[in-house]
Amino acid sequence: MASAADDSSTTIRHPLLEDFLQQNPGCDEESAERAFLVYQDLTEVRNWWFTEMAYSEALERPYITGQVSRRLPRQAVLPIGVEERISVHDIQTFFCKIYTSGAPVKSLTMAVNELDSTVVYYKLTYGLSPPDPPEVTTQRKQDKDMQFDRKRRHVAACVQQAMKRTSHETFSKASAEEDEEL
Amino acid sequence: MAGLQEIGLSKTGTSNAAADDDELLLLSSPSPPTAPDDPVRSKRPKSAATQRRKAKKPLEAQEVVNLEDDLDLEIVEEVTSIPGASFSASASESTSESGSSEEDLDLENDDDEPTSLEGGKMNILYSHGSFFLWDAEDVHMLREECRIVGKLVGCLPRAPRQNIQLGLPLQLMPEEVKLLVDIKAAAVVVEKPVSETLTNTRKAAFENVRQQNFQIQEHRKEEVSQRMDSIIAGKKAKKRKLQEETNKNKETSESLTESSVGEEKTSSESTSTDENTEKDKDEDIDGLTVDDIVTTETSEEHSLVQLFTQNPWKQNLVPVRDWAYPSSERDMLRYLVFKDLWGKGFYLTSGAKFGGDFLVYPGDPSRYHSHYIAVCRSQFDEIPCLDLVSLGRLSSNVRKTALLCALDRNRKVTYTSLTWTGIS
Repeated sequence: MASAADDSSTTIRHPLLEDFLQQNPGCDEESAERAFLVYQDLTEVRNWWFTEMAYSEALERPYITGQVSRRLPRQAVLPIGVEERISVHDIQTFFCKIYTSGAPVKSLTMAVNELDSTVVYYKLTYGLSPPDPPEVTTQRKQDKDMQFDRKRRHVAACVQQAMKRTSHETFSKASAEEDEEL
Repeated sequence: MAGLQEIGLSKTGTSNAAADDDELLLLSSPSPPTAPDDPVRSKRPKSAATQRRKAKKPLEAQEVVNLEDDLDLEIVEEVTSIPGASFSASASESTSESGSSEEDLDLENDDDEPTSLEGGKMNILYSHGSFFLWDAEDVHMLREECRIVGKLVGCLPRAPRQNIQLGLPLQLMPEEVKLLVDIKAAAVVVEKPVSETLTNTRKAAFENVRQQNFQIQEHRKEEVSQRMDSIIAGKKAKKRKLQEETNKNKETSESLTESSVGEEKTSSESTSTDENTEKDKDEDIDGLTVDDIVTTETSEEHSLVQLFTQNPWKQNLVPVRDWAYPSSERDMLRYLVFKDLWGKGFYLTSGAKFGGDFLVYPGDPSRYHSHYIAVCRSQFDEIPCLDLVSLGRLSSNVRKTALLCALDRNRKVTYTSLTWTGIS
């Protein structure tokens, strides 16, 4: 790996990316870098609960598996550069060759990324994926509202406590001054 | 109506050189101008409707229709009812009268030779590369029974100066036509070109009909003027009756207002003004005599004309046998996708509105929003990623799912759904 270290003397790689490249010597460095861009986006910007880089020998492509939160199932994210062209046949092979927790995926997230770290995520599903029934969408909306409400209550409580504290402090300060005068 | 629906029958006919005379028009047979309030005539539309129903059934297609009754504007009006209209009313009528029309055999029965057009199939007219359906009931049936929607492209006869609501004919996509032909529900037909002499006769006959229409209107006007006395008397009687009723009502209301003292003043004022205006009106009607009514002269140029909502001429239809579809690979793909999705129970319309090949509805498009925008691509066609992004973006914005459709090695349709993840 001495040669790799020589190459990266000008640019400093993230240690995780370095590890990944060491584990998957077949992986093209540029595509690994772009995949790492998506990995960083998911981990640091989107705050996924779990993320992991993976490599598919069959596709010769790196991809990412991860979970949005602990309760949600693991999913696969496939980084694709904006300049790439993919056919329907390619998509079908993605479904066959990409594995999450040991089984081929029925749906995967396509992460179209540009070098300026812009990433958009679109979900590809095998077959017809029917839209969510109205109950699910309303439930989702309610959940979101509730979450927001909880946040608001929490913030309001914080403010109230702070107010109490400051008023108490000023009161105690005032009383202390009075004591001094006396 | 009877004559107009005759076209529906004539479609079952074949080309018959001897029948050229009959091929003129169905309207040209002279009908004596009849009194509009003739009891028999007023019933006519119903019987015509029932005849039409009967004619739809394949076995009764030979039924010959009375041509004598064609030239009635009142009847023709019924034909102007357009696709949306329901025919349930006419369906419930009894068929008692249709028997009488069968006796008047003045039209030659032209079912000499059976063709592929019989057997209750719909006739889809092929014209300049497009497919049209001209029968309102067929359009209904197509939607209800076959889940084929098509697109109405014609001008509404009653509202010709707008293009928000459109009427017959219904234009069909080639995929829709091919499917209907495949399931043996319809036949593609084309009209044989008309000879020049026939065109000239038709022209003459058309002029004749215009002339006759005008005469009927003149006759009607005369009749009205003759009965003017009784009409005015009737109007006066009606007015009087109405007045008596309002007077009665007023008495009761006045007794009520007297009880409520506060409002008395205003209400009395208003009633007095009412009385004044009513008196004026009464004088108008009472003073009316026959001489006061001005009847204007109408020139032929300004007379009412009949607008045909169906082809009034007998058509000489022949089946199109050499329709080469689907000829290209792309047509094949589109057709197989259309057929497969249709087979899954969906309704499909053109997807041009949303940049796709088809819009896929879970039910009747008038009741549901579409779920998918189907985009047909051949399997190895390389799609730029940005195209996928724009497709996904568009479909998520209109709350749909983009559906990439392709054929696999075994020519089976494979689908891939593309949706936005919600991660922005």
